[in-house]
Amino acid sequence: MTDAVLHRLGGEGPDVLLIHGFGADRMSWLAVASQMFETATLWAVEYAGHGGAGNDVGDGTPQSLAAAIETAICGALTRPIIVGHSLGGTVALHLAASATADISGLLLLAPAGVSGQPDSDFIDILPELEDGEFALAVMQRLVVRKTLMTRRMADAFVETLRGDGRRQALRQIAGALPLASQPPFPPAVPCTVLWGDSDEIAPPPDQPLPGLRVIENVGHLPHIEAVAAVMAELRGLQDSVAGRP
Amino acid sequence: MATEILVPQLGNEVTEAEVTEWAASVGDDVSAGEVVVVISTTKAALEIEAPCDGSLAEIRIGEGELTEVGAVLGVIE
Repeated sequence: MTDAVLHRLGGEGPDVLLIHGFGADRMSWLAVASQMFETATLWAVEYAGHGGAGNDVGDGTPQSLAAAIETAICGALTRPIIVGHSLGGTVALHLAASATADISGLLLLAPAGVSGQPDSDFIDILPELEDGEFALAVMQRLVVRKTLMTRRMADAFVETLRGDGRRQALRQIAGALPLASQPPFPPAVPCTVLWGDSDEIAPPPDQPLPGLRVIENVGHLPHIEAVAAVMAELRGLQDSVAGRP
Repeated sequence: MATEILVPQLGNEVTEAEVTEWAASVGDDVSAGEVVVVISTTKAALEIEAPCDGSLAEIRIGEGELTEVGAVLGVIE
Protein backbone atom coordinates (compact mmCIF):
# COMPACT_ATOMS: atom_id res chain seq x y z
CA MET A 1 0.00 0.00 0.00
CA THR A 2 1.04 3.59 -0.62
CA ASP A 3 2.30 5.23 2.55
CA ALA A 4 1.59 8.40 4.50
CA VAL A 5 3.50 9.97 7.37
CA LEU A 6 1.81 11.72 10.29
CA HIS A 7 3.53 14.66 12.01
CA ARG A 8 2.49 16.37 15.24
CA LEU A 9 3.12 20.07 14.68
CA GLY A 10 2.24 21.34 18.17
CA GLY A 11 -0.55 23.05 20.11
CA GLU A 12 -3.10 21.88 22.66
CA GLY A 13 -6.79 21.10 22.22
CA PRO A 14 -9.02 18.90 20.05
CA ASP A 15 -7.26 17.26 17.12
CA VAL A 16 -7.03 19.07 13.79
CA LEU A 17 -5.44 17.28 10.83
CA LEU A 18 -3.98 19.20 7.87
CA ILE A 19 -3.76 17.55 4.44
CA HIS A 20 -1.62 19.45 1.92
CA GLY A 21 -2.15 19.89 -1.80
CA PHE A 22 -0.33 18.47 -4.83
CA GLY A 23 3.39 19.25 -4.71
CA ALA A 24 3.25 20.71 -1.18
CA ASP A 25 4.09 19.26 2.24
CA ARG A 26 3.48 19.84 5.96
CA MET A 27 5.53 23.04 5.95
CA SER A 28 3.10 24.72 3.56
CA TRP A 29 0.75 25.36 6.52
CA LEU A 30 3.14 27.82 8.14
CA ALA A 31 0.89 30.90 8.02
CA VAL A 32 -2.18 29.32 9.61
CA ALA A 33 -0.43 26.78 11.85
CA SER A 34 1.00 29.48 14.09
CA GLN A 35 -2.57 30.58 14.95
CA MET A 36 -4.10 27.10 15.07
CA PHE A 37 -1.73 26.10 17.86
CA GLU A 38 -3.83 28.28 20.21
CA THR A 39 -6.93 26.07 20.03
CA ALA A 40 -5.91 22.70 18.61
CA THR A 41 -3.51 19.83 18.77
CA LEU A 42 -2.26 20.23 15.26
CA TRP A 43 -1.24 17.35 13.03
CA ALA A 44 -0.14 17.32 9.41
CA VAL A 45 0.03 14.28 7.21
CA GLU A 46 2.25 13.89 4.17
CA TYR A 47 1.07 11.40 1.59
CA ALA A 48 3.24 9.47 -0.86
CA GLY A 49 5.30 11.52 -3.30
CA HIS A 50 5.50 14.44 -0.87
CA GLY A 51 7.65 15.65 2.02
CA GLY A 52 9.03 12.86 4.17
CA ALA A 53 6.77 10.16 2.74
CA GLY A 54 8.01 7.55 0.29
CA ASN A 55 7.31 7.48 -3.41
CA ASP A 56 5.07 4.43 -3.68
CA VAL A 57 1.84 6.17 -4.68
CA GLY A 58 0.10 3.00 -5.85
CA ASP A 59 -2.43 3.94 -8.50
CA GLY A 60 -2.10 7.58 -7.40
CA THR A 61 -5.83 8.16 -6.97
CA PRO A 62 -7.22 10.32 -4.16
CA GLN A 63 -9.00 7.22 -2.85
CA SER A 64 -5.67 5.40 -2.45
CA LEU A 65 -4.05 8.40 -0.78
CA ALA A 66 -7.03 8.66 1.59
CA ALA A 67 -6.76 4.97 2.50
CA ALA A 68 -3.09 5.40 3.37
CA ILE A 69 -3.88 8.45 5.52
CA GLU A 70 -6.62 6.56 7.32
CA THR A 71 -4.08 3.89 8.23
CA ALA A 72 -1.57 6.54 9.37
CA ILE A 73 -3.99 8.33 11.70
CA CYS A 74 -5.76 5.24 13.08
CA GLY A 75 -5.39 5.20 16.85
CA ALA A 76 -3.42 8.45 16.94
CA LEU A 77 -6.18 11.04 16.48
CA THR A 78 -9.60 11.38 18.11
CA ARG A 79 -12.47 12.60 15.90
CA PRO A 80 -10.33 15.22 14.13
CA ILE A 81 -11.47 18.20 12.15
CA ILE A 82 -9.73 17.88 8.81
CA VAL A 83 -8.45 20.87 6.87
CA GLY A 84 -7.60 19.88 3.31
CA HIS A 85 -6.20 22.03 0.55
CA SER A 86 -6.73 21.35 -3.18
CA LEU A 87 -5.92 17.67 -3.77
CA GLY A 88 -5.79 17.37 0.02
CA GLY A 89 -9.40 18.60 0.14
CA THR A 90 -10.49 15.91 -2.28
CA VAL A 91 -8.56 13.33 -0.29
CA ALA A 92 -10.28 14.60 2.87
CA LEU A 93 -13.69 14.05 1.29
CA HIS A 94 -12.79 10.47 0.42
CA LEU A 95 -11.47 9.97 3.94
CA ALA A 96 -14.69 11.34 5.45
CA ALA A 97 -16.71 8.99 3.24
CA SER A 98 -14.91 5.97 4.63
CA ALA A 99 -17.12 3.82 6.81
CA THR A 100 -14.38 3.44 9.40
CA ALA A 101 -12.96 6.97 9.61
CA ASP A 102 -14.45 9.07 12.43
CA ILE A 103 -14.24 12.72 11.34
CA SER A 104 -15.94 15.54 13.25
CA GLY A 105 -15.73 18.28 10.62
CA LEU A 106 -14.24 19.32 7.29
CA LEU A 107 -12.74 22.62 6.18
CA LEU A 108 -11.92 22.40 2.49
CA LEU A 109 -9.75 25.01 0.76
CA ALA A 110 -10.20 25.08 -3.02
CA PRO A 111 -10.76 21.30 -3.16
CA ALA A 112 -9.54 19.97 -6.52
CA GLY A 113 -12.07 17.96 -8.49
CA VAL A 114 -15.13 19.44 -6.80
CA SER A 115 -15.49 22.18 -9.40
CA GLY A 116 -14.27 20.37 -12.51
CA GLN A 117 -10.69 19.39 -13.16
CA PRO A 118 -7.84 21.61 -11.99
CA ASP A 119 -5.68 23.31 -14.63
CA SER A 120 -3.90 20.46 -16.42
CA ASP A 121 -1.02 22.65 -17.63
CA PHE A 122 -0.12 23.44 -14.02
CA ILE A 123 -0.56 19.88 -12.76
CA ASP A 124 1.43 18.36 -15.62
CA ILE A 125 4.33 20.82 -15.53
CA LEU A 126 4.92 20.73 -11.78
CA PRO A 127 6.75 17.34 -11.72
CA GLU A 128 8.92 18.42 -14.67
CA LEU A 129 10.32 21.68 -13.27
CA GLU A 130 14.10 21.93 -13.43
CA ASP A 131 14.88 25.64 -13.57
CA GLY A 132 14.31 27.90 -10.57
CA GLU A 133 13.33 30.97 -12.54
CA PHE A 134 10.73 29.10 -14.59
CA ALA A 135 9.54 27.28 -11.47
CA LEU A 136 8.95 30.63 -9.80
CA ALA A 137 6.78 31.80 -12.69
CA VAL A 138 4.74 28.59 -12.49
CA MET A 139 4.35 28.80 -8.71
CA GLN A 140 3.33 32.45 -8.85
CA ARG A 141 0.18 31.34 -10.66
CA LEU A 142 -0.96 30.03 -7.28
CA VAL A 143 -1.33 33.48 -5.73
CA VAL A 144 -2.69 36.94 -6.46
CA ARG A 145 0.07 38.71 -4.54
CA LYS A 146 3.08 37.43 -6.46
CA THR A 147 5.64 38.44 -3.84
CA LEU A 148 4.29 35.62 -1.65
CA MET A 149 6.25 33.24 -3.86
CA THR A 150 10.01 33.66 -3.83
CA ARG A 151 12.94 32.39 -5.84
CA ARG A 152 14.18 30.69 -2.68
CA MET A 153 10.96 28.68 -2.51
CA ALA A 154 11.13 27.82 -6.20
CA ASP A 155 14.74 26.60 -5.90
CA ALA A 156 13.82 24.51 -2.86
CA PHE A 157 10.90 22.95 -4.71
CA VAL A 158 13.05 22.01 -7.70
CA GLU A 159 15.53 20.47 -5.27
CA THR A 160 12.84 18.21 -3.78
CA LEU A 161 12.10 16.89 -7.26
CA ARG A 162 15.68 15.68 -7.62
CA GLY A 163 15.11 12.87 -5.11
CA ASP A 164 14.95 9.35 -6.55
CA GLY A 165 11.48 8.56 -7.84
CA ARG A 166 9.87 11.82 -6.76
CA ARG A 167 9.07 13.11 -10.23
CA GLN A 168 7.55 9.79 -11.25
CA ALA A 169 5.44 9.66 -8.09
CA LEU A 170 4.02 13.11 -8.84
CA ARG A 171 3.41 12.19 -12.48
CA GLN A 172 1.42 9.16 -11.31
CA ILE A 173 -0.76 11.29 -9.03
CA ALA A 174 -1.20 13.94 -11.75
CA GLY A 175 -2.22 11.28 -14.24
CA ALA A 176 -4.80 9.82 -11.87
CA LEU A 177 -6.51 13.13 -11.14
CA PRO A 178 -8.63 13.34 -14.31
CA LEU A 179 -9.81 9.77 -13.70
CA ALA A 180 -10.72 10.33 -10.06
CA SER A 181 -14.36 9.99 -9.09
CA GLN A 182 -16.19 13.00 -7.72
CA PRO A 183 -16.06 12.56 -3.95
CA PRO A 184 -19.37 12.85 -2.10
CA PHE A 185 -20.00 15.46 0.58
CA PRO A 186 -20.79 13.40 3.69
CA PRO A 187 -24.19 14.61 4.97
CA ALA A 188 -23.46 13.82 8.60
CA VAL A 189 -20.18 15.78 8.81
CA PRO A 190 -20.21 19.61 9.14
CA CYS A 191 -18.38 20.98 6.14
CA THR A 192 -17.19 24.43 5.08
CA VAL A 193 -15.57 25.24 1.75
CA LEU A 194 -13.39 28.30 1.18
CA TRP A 195 -12.39 29.35 -2.30
CA GLY A 196 -10.49 32.31 -3.75
CA ASP A 197 -12.36 34.19 -6.47
CA SER A 198 -9.10 34.60 -8.42
CA ASP A 199 -8.07 30.94 -8.30
CA GLU A 200 -6.37 30.20 -11.65
CA ILE A 201 -5.61 26.58 -10.86
CA ALA A 202 -9.03 25.31 -9.75
CA PRO A 203 -11.59 28.10 -10.22
CA PRO A 204 -14.53 28.22 -7.79
CA PRO A 205 -17.75 26.48 -8.81
CA ASP A 206 -20.45 28.28 -10.76
CA GLN A 207 -23.11 26.26 -8.96
CA PRO A 208 -24.01 26.71 -5.29
CA LEU A 209 -22.16 24.32 -3.02
CA PRO A 210 -23.13 23.55 0.58
CA GLY A 211 -20.99 25.59 2.97
CA LEU A 212 -19.21 27.50 0.19
CA ARG A 213 -17.69 30.92 0.87
CA VAL A 214 -15.81 32.68 -1.91
CA ILE A 215 -13.11 35.16 -0.83
CA GLU A 216 -12.27 38.19 -2.95
CA ASN A 217 -8.80 38.83 -4.35
CA VAL A 218 -7.41 35.44 -3.31
CA GLY A 219 -5.86 32.77 -5.51
CA HIS A 220 -5.40 29.02 -5.01
CA LEU A 221 -3.78 29.31 -1.56
CA PRO A 222 -6.34 30.70 0.92
CA HIS A 223 -4.19 29.42 3.80
CA ILE A 224 -1.46 31.82 2.63
CA GLU A 225 -3.45 34.76 1.25
CA ALA A 226 -6.53 34.71 3.50
CA VAL A 227 -5.33 33.55 6.90
CA ALA A 228 -8.01 35.48 8.82
CA ALA A 229 -10.80 33.91 6.75
CA VAL A 230 -9.40 30.41 7.20
CA MET A 231 -9.03 30.91 10.93
CA ALA A 232 -12.57 32.31 11.27
CA GLU A 233 -14.03 29.28 9.48
CA LEU A 234 -11.94 26.85 11.52
CA ARG A 235 -13.01 28.46 14.80
CA GLY A 236 -16.64 28.37 13.68
CA LEU A 237 -16.29 24.69 12.88
CA GLN A 238 -14.59 24.02 16.21
CA ASP A 239 -17.44 25.80 18.03
CA SER A 240 -20.02 23.83 16.08
CA VAL A 241 -18.33 20.52 16.81
CA ALA A 242 -18.01 21.41 20.50
CA GLY A 243 -21.67 22.49 20.68
CA ARG A 244 -20.77 26.10 21.49
CA PRO A 245 -23.20 28.79 20.25
CA MET B 1 4.64 54.26 23.25
CA ALA B 2 6.64 51.81 21.16
CA THR B 3 5.17 48.47 20.03
CA GLU B 4 7.41 45.82 18.53
CA ILE B 5 6.56 43.81 15.43
CA LEU B 6 7.73 40.28 16.23
CA VAL B 7 8.40 37.12 14.25
CA PRO B 8 5.63 34.81 15.57
CA GLN B 9 5.97 31.22 16.70
CA LEU B 10 6.17 29.08 13.58
CA GLY B 11 5.91 25.58 15.04
CA ASN B 12 8.40 23.16 16.47
CA GLU B 13 10.30 22.68 13.20
CA VAL B 14 10.82 26.25 12.01
CA THR B 15 13.26 28.54 13.77
CA GLU B 16 14.17 31.11 11.13
CA ALA B 17 12.66 32.99 8.21
CA GLU B 18 13.66 35.55 5.62
CA VAL B 19 12.16 39.02 5.42
CA THR B 20 10.72 39.03 1.91
CA GLU B 21 9.13 42.44 1.71
CA TRP B 22 8.28 45.47 3.78
CA ALA B 23 4.88 46.82 2.74
CA ALA B 24 5.47 50.05 4.67
CA SER B 25 8.41 52.43 4.97
CA VAL B 26 9.79 54.16 8.03
CA GLY B 27 7.55 57.14 8.77
CA ASP B 28 4.41 55.63 7.19
CA ASP B 29 1.19 55.58 9.18
CA VAL B 30 -0.08 52.03 9.66
CA SER B 31 -3.33 50.63 11.04
CA ALA B 32 -3.83 47.62 13.30
CA GLY B 33 -4.43 44.56 11.11
CA GLU B 34 -2.72 46.06 8.05
CA VAL B 35 -0.03 43.86 6.49
CA VAL B 36 3.30 45.59 7.10
CA VAL B 37 5.87 42.90 6.41
CA VAL B 38 6.08 39.52 4.69
CA ILE B 39 8.41 36.79 5.90
CA SER B 40 9.02 33.44 4.26
CA THR B 41 10.73 30.11 4.62
CA THR B 42 11.69 27.87 1.72
CA LYS B 43 8.16 26.44 1.87
CA ALA B 44 5.68 29.25 2.56
CA ALA B 45 5.17 32.94 3.18
CA LEU B 46 3.52 34.66 6.11
CA GLU B 47 2.04 38.16 6.04
CA ILE B 48 2.52 39.92 9.39
CA GLU B 49 0.03 42.58 10.41
CA ALA B 50 0.61 45.73 12.40
CA PRO B 51 -0.27 45.00 16.05
CA CYS B 52 -1.59 48.56 16.59
CA ASP B 53 -2.25 51.91 14.92
CA GLY B 54 0.72 54.24 14.67
CA SER B 55 3.72 55.19 12.63
CA LEU B 56 6.41 52.74 11.54
CA ALA B 57 9.33 54.18 13.46
CA GLU B 58 12.01 51.61 12.81
CA ILE B 59 12.84 48.67 10.55
CA ARG B 60 15.33 46.42 12.28
CA ILE B 61 15.47 43.52 9.82
CA GLY B 62 15.68 44.52 6.17
CA GLU B 63 14.45 42.74 3.07
CA GLY B 64 16.52 39.69 2.19
CA GLU B 65 17.84 39.26 5.73
CA LEU B 66 17.34 36.09 7.75
CA THR B 67 15.76 36.38 11.18
CA GLU B 68 14.68 34.12 14.03
CA VAL B 69 11.39 33.32 15.76
CA GLY B 70 10.76 35.97 18.40
CA ALA B 71 13.03 38.59 16.82
CA VAL B 72 11.94 42.21 16.51
CA LEU B 73 11.32 43.06 12.86
CA GLY B 74 10.37 46.68 13.42
CA VAL B 75 8.83 49.16 15.83
CA ILE B 76 5.56 51.14 15.68
CA GLU B 77 5.14 54.34 17.70
